[in-house]
Parts: sequence; C-alpha cells; structure tokens
Amino acid sequence: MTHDYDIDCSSPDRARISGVLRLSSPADYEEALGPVRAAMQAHEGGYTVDVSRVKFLNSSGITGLSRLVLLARSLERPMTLIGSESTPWQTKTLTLLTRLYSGLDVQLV
Amino acid sequence: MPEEDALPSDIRFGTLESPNASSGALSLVDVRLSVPDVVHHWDRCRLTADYLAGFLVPEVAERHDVRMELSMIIDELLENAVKFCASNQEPVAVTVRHFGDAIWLETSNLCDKGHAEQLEASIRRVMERDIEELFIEQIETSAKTPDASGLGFITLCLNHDAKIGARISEATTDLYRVTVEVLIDRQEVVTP
Repeated sequence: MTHDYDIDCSSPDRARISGVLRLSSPADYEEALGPVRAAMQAHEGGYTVDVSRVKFLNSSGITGLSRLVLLARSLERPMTLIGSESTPWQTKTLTLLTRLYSGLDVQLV
Repeated sequence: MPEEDALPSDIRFGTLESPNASSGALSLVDVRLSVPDVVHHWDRCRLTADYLAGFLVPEVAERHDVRMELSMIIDELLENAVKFCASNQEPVAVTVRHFGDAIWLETSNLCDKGHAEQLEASIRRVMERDIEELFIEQIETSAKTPDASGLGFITLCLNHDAKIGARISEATTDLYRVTVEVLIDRQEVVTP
C-alpha cells in the first residue's frame, strides 16, 4: 500500500488533498476520505476540496472524489473543487463532474 | 448450455496496430503473476507496474511524471485482470512492447462466463459510446454498489488517450481467455 499522499481536513470548510493516490478500491478511498465526508456533513455552509496538488489519481480515486460531489448533492449544499490547470487529468475530469451537480463550482488555477 | 445464452467462441473487437509493429518491438517484457500470490499481496500489482514503467522510461527528473503515468495505466490494467481472473491454475500475464512510436500493453487471464460477458459489455461501451457521457453515467451507477468503480477503461481513454481492444475466446467448457490490449501513442509517453 502506498501512502504518498496527504489529506488535510484541519479547516472546517475546506480539505486539501495532495500527492499521488493509487489505493486499490473505492472502499479504500471511502476510508481515506472519511474525514472529508464527516467535515462536509458537519459544516452547514459550502465546502471546498482542493485537489490542485494531486498529481495522479487512479480510477478508484476518481470514483471516491465523485462520491464527495454526490454527497454535496444529497446534502443540497454548495461545493467547490479547486484543481490545477497544468494537470491534464484534472482539467478533463473535474470539469466533467459539474454535470453531476449544478451546485458544484470547479476552479482551475 | 442453450445456444442463445452462450458467448460466441471467439470475439475480437478493436483493432490496434502500431505502424512499426511489422518490424518488431524495440523492447519487450513479459511478466507472469500467480493469482493467489497477488491477491494476498495486492501491492505487487503496483510494484509490477512500477517495474514495467521504469523499464520503459528512464528515471530522470524531467520524465518522472511520464513514468508515473505509465505505471498508473499498467496498474489499472493489471488489477482489472487479477480481479476478473477465475482460475488459480494459470497466472495472469502482462506484456509490454515498445515500438518506438507507441507502447502496447496487453493482459491475459482466464475468467468465467459471467465476467467475460461483463468485460465484453464494458469494453464495447467504451468503444461505442460518448466517453464523457459514459463517465457520468458510470459514476451514478457505481454509487449504488459501494465497492465498484467501473471507471478503469473509461479513465484510460478519457485521461490518458489510450486506445483499447480485446479478444475473448473459449478456453475450456466453462472458462474464457480474455486478452485486453491498450495502445498508448502519445509522443511524451513513448519517447524513450
């Protein structure tokens, strides 16, 4: 198992994820992203997830990230995803995720 | 088995060909992995992918991301082959060929009829449907099955510009041989 990543939920309205994430299944991501889910549920306003420093994310991880968007949709709370314009998978994938939820704002920096 | 329930004995879809294939590969690596071993030590999929990517892409700072991307692609394919494998009697095979203008990745494994049908359907969807629509549809579908992603082939095409093909053939009375092929022809990946 690789742990070449960091998930920082120390702020109540924002999570910062960085590194290379290649966990082996969506269930592993459910566990790793558990604190983010808990923070999203606890914070009644909008929530921001900054993935601009995630260099690579495998398909199970993209599923995990998309499920955070589905959580925001089910909570009916606004969500912002911050990505990096210079990371090819982010420009394609993050923009597409707006189709899941009209309350999702994607900012590529 | 009733005729209408049977998979055709030999299915081939997607024709992948490197322009330089006839002159032979510049590099070729063929690795076999014992299924019970890899299932027990799942990280060996990643280690194998890292090895194969490292074999093809030199470890220099400016090519680190290319090497990592190639490893991620191989890892997706390899994990898929192991997850779908139905027999412990034969190893999963992963083959990497570098043709100079393209990298050809191939996995081969035995699986049961249900998995063969599932794989055929998922690869056909990737080849025939709009990839962005399929991506969104799959996220909604997999939300109902917590430990399923189903995005492996979709993200290979969407994020890595991979071309995918497959062969499925009857191996025994109840097992099918599945060979998945992926062609990567992006210049930044294939340049040695």
